[in-house]
Amino acid sequence: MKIPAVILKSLTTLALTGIFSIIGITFATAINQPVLALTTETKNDPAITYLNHQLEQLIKTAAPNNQGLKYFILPESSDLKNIPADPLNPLTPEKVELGKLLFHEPALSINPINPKHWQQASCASCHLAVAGFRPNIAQGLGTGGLGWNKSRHRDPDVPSVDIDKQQILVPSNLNSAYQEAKLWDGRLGVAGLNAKEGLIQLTEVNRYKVHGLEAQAIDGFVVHKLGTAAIAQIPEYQKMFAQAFPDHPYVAAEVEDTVRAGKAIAAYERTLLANQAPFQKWLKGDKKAMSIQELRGAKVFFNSTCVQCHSGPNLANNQFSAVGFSDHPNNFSGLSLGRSAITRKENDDFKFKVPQLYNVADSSPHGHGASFNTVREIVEYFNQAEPQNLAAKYSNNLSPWFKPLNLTTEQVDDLTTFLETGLRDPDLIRYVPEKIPSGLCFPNNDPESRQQLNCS
Amino acid sequence: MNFRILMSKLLLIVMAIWIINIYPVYAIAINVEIPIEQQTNLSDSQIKYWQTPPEKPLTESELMKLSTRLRDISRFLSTSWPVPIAMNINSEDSILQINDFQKADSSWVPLSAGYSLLFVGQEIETLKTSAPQPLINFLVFTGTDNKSTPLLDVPLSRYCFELFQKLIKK
Repeated sequence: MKIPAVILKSLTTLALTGIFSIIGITFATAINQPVLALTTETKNDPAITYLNHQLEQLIKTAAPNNQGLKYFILPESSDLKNIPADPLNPLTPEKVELGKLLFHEPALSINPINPKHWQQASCASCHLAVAGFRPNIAQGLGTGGLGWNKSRHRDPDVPSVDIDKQQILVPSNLNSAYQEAKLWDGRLGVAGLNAKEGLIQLTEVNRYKVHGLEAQAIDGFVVHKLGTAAIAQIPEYQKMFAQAFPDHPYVAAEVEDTVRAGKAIAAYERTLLANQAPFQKWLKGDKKAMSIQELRGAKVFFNSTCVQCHSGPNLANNQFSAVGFSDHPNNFSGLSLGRSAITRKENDDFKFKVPQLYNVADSSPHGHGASFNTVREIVEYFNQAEPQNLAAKYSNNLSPWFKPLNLTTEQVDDLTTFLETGLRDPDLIRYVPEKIPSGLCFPNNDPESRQQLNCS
Repeated sequence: MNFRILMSKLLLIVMAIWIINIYPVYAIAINVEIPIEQQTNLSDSQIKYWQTPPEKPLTESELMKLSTRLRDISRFLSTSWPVPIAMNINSEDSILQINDFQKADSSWVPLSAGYSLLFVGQEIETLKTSAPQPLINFLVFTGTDNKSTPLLDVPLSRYCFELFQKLIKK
């Protein structure tokens, strides 16, 4: 009699699970010992094999439609066919290369509020590769900011209104190809959840009917007072625009040129993927890529309610959740309603976009209101589940998943380690160009940054 | 008033509200120097009741109702929408209005729907935990001489009570 393949597969899985369970009982004590680094000896330890197996099962459960581990694997940055794209902005290597330069180009900053800050900042002033494409400070400062990375501060010699600054923490551009709507309230983009929001579809920022990344990059030219007039004088850019946009093979200083420049920047941003993080290597088969503590932390993550919202290849579910974070101290109205300020829906009050989690420890502070200094503080916050924002707490709108995790101190340690190092791509600098056609100091061209970045 | 002028003013207001709501993240905080008279010329009888808790503080359900109203205001008019409170005085000549409060860093900021919502949330928390009443410093705008005067140590329950009278129980 022939046994059906499905039954045979199930029996094999059961048998293997049984074997691993026995091994698991034997080595359970060993797993709970805090071991920070893997040695050759421990890498072959059956306890680790068991831990790997457990994690695999949990990840497979978290993946929708039986997609298994591959659901969480981020594509290679050169694998443009497998990177999510906007049909109105197909990805090409030429466009990505152009976007890479424009993203770091201070020569785009030609209309600053104060002329003193002419050509001093770029997209990468707030979205630094070394900081996980975040600013590494509580308040993002474009033109009118001085200094690079953590040392960036407001120009003290100009009034506050002359500075391009944000009232909410600048989110990361990393893995943003997997974000359908951009900004914390998701106002940018017509795809995903926004496809059902009539009001959002009608807003000025979505006039081009493109996805969130494209809308943000295009609108960024208006908000951050950028323009293409200066780069239009540079032959290298003329050549690159011709290659990236063969239907309109030149760049000038028209609105449509800023739209194309925005699309090129968005194309580049879609390739910013943390695909060399230890967790990514582990997913692709290198079972020695993560330390025991990272493995244990990953197990805590996929075994808890974290994964209810932090699912998806970038560990974010494209949804909006209210988890009671405080608002930004620079918010002059004292409070942000988040998503509902855009949708006007009561059940969206205090909901903010679920952020991606890769390279989260490269920058601080954290949370849309910059209310956490460390990753561990966030883990402890979710472990306690006591809202910071009292208005949100009594709004009856908090996420149903926002409940105490009841983790032990050791589990908090493990989860923090997984988030800080297991999800950290150590080489994001590969996304930074070696030089830019304008020859300006980049990503910042203000006097303090020039000194810090050793620009001549 | 001419109907067309009225309509154009209405249109301007609607556009202003729309802009505030569409670009709240990019909006710029305007720092205004508030002239503050340290020597108050308000008579005690006019304002003294503000410095004591109400005889019958708001219940949790009343506070929740207030919170819901403030959220509606915030959602449709923005969290920066001003929520001043006119003081209950008998004189027909005087206009006394609470416009600003003092933050922990000592700066005076306008009472917005967002801050009011935070105050109401804090009062609900205070009720639930029986914590001591937080005290707030306000600035009272006196319409007669066009100046502002500090009103110190107002119990949070009093503020919420007066706000409730203004927004819910007119």
